[in-house]
Amino acid sequence: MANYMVCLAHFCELHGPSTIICTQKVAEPEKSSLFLPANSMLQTCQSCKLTLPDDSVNLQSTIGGTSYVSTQYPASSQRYSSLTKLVMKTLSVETTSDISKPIFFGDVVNGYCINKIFKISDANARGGERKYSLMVVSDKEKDLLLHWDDFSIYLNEFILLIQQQAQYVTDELNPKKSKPPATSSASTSGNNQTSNTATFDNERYLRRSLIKPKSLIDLTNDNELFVKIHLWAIELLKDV
Amino acid sequence: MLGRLFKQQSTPTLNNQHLPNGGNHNQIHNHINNQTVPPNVNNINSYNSSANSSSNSSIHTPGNHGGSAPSLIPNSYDDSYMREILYGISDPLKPFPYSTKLFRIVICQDGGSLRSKQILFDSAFGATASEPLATKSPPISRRDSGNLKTILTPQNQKLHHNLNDLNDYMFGCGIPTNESQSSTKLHILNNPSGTSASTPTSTANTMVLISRLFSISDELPTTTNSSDWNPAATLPIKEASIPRKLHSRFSIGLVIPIENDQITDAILQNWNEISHFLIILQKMITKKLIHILESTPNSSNSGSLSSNSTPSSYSTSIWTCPFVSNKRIQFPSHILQSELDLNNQVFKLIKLMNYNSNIPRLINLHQVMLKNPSNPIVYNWISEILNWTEFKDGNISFLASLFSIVLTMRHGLKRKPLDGVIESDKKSRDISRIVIMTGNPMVAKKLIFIINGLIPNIEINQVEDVSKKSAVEEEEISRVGCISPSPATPSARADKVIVDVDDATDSGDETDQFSFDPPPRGLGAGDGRRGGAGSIFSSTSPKPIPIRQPSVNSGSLGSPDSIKGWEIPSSYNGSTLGKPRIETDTKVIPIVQQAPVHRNSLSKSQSMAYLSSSLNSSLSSSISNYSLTKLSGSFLEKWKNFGTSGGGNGASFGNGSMNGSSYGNGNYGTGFGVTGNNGGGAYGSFNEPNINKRGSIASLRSPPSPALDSEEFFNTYGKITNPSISAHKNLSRTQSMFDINEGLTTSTPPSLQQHIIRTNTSILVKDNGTLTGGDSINPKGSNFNQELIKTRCLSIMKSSPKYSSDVENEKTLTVEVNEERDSLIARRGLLPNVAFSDEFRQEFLIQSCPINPKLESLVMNAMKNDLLFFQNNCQVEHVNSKTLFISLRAREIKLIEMSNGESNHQLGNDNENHHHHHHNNNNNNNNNKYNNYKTTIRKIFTPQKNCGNKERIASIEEKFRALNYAFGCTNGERERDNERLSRIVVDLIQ
Repeated sequence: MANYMVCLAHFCELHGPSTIICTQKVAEPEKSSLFLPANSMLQTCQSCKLTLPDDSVNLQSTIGGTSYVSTQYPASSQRYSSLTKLVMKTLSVETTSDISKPIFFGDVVNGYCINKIFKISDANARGGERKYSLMVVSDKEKDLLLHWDDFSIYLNEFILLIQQQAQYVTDELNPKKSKPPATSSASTSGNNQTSNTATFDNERYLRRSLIKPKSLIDLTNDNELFVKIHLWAIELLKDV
Repeated sequence: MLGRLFKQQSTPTLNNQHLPNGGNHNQIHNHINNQTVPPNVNNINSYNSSANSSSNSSIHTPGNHGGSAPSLIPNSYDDSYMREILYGISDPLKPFPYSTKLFRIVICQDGGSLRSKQILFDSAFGATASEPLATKSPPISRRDSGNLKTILTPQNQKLHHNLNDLNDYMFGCGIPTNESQSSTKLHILNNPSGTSASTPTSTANTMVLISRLFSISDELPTTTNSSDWNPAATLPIKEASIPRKLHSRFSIGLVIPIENDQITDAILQNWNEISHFLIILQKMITKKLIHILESTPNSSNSGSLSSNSTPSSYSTSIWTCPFVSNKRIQFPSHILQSELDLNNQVFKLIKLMNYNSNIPRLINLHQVMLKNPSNPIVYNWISEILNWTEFKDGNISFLASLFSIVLTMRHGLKRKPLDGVIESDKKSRDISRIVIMTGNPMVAKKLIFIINGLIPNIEINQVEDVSKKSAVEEEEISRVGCISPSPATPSARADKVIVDVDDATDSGDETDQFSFDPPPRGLGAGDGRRGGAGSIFSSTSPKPIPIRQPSVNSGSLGSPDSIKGWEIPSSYNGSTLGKPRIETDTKVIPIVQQAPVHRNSLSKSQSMAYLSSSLNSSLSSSISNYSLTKLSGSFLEKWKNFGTSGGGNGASFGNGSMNGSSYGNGNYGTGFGVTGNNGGGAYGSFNEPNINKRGSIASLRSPPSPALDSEEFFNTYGKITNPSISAHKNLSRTQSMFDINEGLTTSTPPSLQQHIIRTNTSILVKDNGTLTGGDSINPKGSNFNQELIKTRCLSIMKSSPKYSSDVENEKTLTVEVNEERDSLIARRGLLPNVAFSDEFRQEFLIQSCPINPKLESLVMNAMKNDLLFFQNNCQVEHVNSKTLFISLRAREIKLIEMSNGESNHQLGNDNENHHHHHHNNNNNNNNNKYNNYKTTIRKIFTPQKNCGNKERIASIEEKFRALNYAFGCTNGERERDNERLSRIVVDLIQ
């Protein structure tokens, strides 16, 4: 029987490829084996941190004898090792011609994954965007591939929603930035605005401003985003 | 790192984007780049000959791949009835017209430079026309490859992707990894031209890149699997490599064009087969590259790199090899370009994709029959059986003998031949196939339809059950046919002694294993213990039908005239066939009231043996459909209900009469003209079943000449057919099409109403509620799933999750989940059982193939490959591959078995029916057990001799007779009659 993990990973500017949240499926009596201890919080930055309500470490839901547990990383050492390598490959090695389509890769040592890269605009990030990856990982190649269609839809739909929400937040924070340049340059105030923006961009371009780690929660302005990702992963795993 | 990043490549490479246009083209590509693989598989026959033959030079001969010559399209001859019974739908399944020029195989090397990779082989490249590659048997040298660079030209650059891009996708473009294990990748690429494929017949606008990364010189990885995380490839590979740590990776890239959004059907449903192809290719390339390393002058001076070398000799030789520098292997570019067998791989890939994704697979009829025995397709199945026994078998017991052997080996047919190895397979793995050699696809399809009713299907995740059953089956099969049954003691079962056929006359206690208790001679004497056929016999008032007993027990067969075979006679004389049919009609009718049809009496005529043409077969099936109306009773009511409640779904199950003229106007393949008029006239004839018509119409109709075109035949047939008969026929066919939607898959309860939506390779099922409004559902099912998943995601994103702290763990939140949800449309892959393939394919479990004197050897080659593959790559200790080879022309059933033989195996005594071959390809003592294999060929059935299990065959024939009786005896109590038939069928196929 195939085992699955659903993971959100991030290319942190400080720590490189790292796992943010990982959801696993297990029989209810064994769910405690997937929990991370309370003192297991890594010394991570805001970008990599799994920020949950009430400073919790684990999320769990049980449906009909099956439990779904979300943690920042898998408690099992072998799963941790496999996932870490797959995350590293996803965000550092693998590339594709069309970022809108998922890719599949894997081997018999680390397992297999279907993943999709997506980017969230962030003016404080290197290159003005942050790079994430949603991944479905399995230890059985064939089982994973046979769910290609459904997994692709799940990945596409949820990524689209995250990006829309992040874009909405960005637009809310910088309403004038979205105006066309011709309009802003028509008045004096517009020229000042343009000048300020240019100065800001120049600071960032010259890397004089400090890199500010920012969580996906901040980018989407949704404190419960990771709980929602947990629920989304459950929906996906229930269809396996 | 940065130094490597900007290091220029040290070996000659060739970027196809910078090559001049024009120049010489490889003749292969000159040819195939201008054509599209037709939807039917026949036109690819032109490739078959070249690919199958050992002579590679034929590939380079212009005209060999012409493919333009019109050829028969067997599948296109299927009328809607045939499509219904074989595929579950009446409309033809649309094949994907592959464009051969879009296929591509590239082999690249990562020699260490981040900026460039070396191309070792690219099928999109040409070679010198004046010096065909076929004449270059040895690999070209490094200097040759440099010259090759100047003459290679990219062809159809707009059709192919930039090789640098492909290298990025295959190897990745970031930090270099230091891995040695093989890894697989799948990328979806856009068409490089930005539009759909330029050929007018191809709609490919998406390409799939399947990559395989491997090393030839690294140590095998050590995997530490645990119980909860045990990565497994679809098919394992035992990688042969040089035991020396060298950091070089190689990659195979397969570029396959697909129709938009058809990745699952075209690629993923055939992933086992593609993985197998990749493994074979990888091993071939590894062998070639190691050979090149060995054969280079410098290395040869220092010792061989063969596997016999010790690590120390490796260490000496590997460093002196000119292709090894700085712990890396760097072969010259295009060093494999002249390898002919690599060029052949392109054609093999094209064929693999075309055959496996375009030939429609059979529905799981067995499951339909078990879950819904009253489904009208069951009656089609019964009818075809009775027609076969009546018109084809005559006095011989071919079909019963076939049943007896198929029933014992059918559990081995639950799994693909290339299915992966599970834990229980490590000790033993069985691979089974059924191959029918025929000159008449229509006849073979009918037989395959019958056989298909016996073959269960399983889900992929149920293979564990198969392994359990296969052990039992192995015992069964060892005692079937010409093998003497042994007492069912463990010790006796463990000893698989192959006995000569001539000695195999004892029946033993075989019936204990068989699920059906045959009634005693005489149909009315059933004891009813099983509640099946036996009970119905006791409940029926008619006396037993005096059916002629086929001479099974005596082992002798019918008259010499009856053994002329079922294939199309070379010359046809309609009058000779017409007369016996009239005679049989007169013979049949006297069994009128209680036992109205005495089917075996129809087969008295020796000329029945000639009734094997496709057209005649169609005719008999048409009549059998007509015969279905005799037992209409409950079906008609069901039909009425469907008509009044449904309607409007294109099926037109209205209350009206059915236009029976569709056969007459030649549109036999495009529907049956069921109209919605309130005629109701057809009902009258249905309500008065005339059991005599079945045999008489079938027998009286003169079969058309085999040379007659089928459409022409149906035109003719339509003119001479009584409209009311056509109406009956249309009714049963349409009805079966409708009702077959129930219970089509193994994964859903039979009570669910299901509309069949299928593709060539899979079937879509929604296990929660009935899908209505088929038009709104994308044939692929993705529209429905997409909307559903979109709704789910949106509701999650917009919702405010409810959570609470866990009482046991304060750092754990328990999140509430909405358990109510609609289910997605699921896709169930169908087993690779096909009706007809114009070439034997080892990927198929059941297939019929045209007559080919080499077919049997092709089958045996595939079986040998089974042994080699599962032993060498999957580490299976004992592999047993068997094929039931049926020759319809010779009316022979052979069971070919091949297994890795024990070392103390005694060579069998050859005789005409039983052949043993003991092979020993003992090149290496260490692999001795992998190179020994044993072949056994047993003739289960010939016109002269029946070596099957007598009791079992007799039991099956009893059931046939029971079917015959129950099928014809439909007087009044139709529900009971139907139930009776259902019970017999279930007993027969269980």
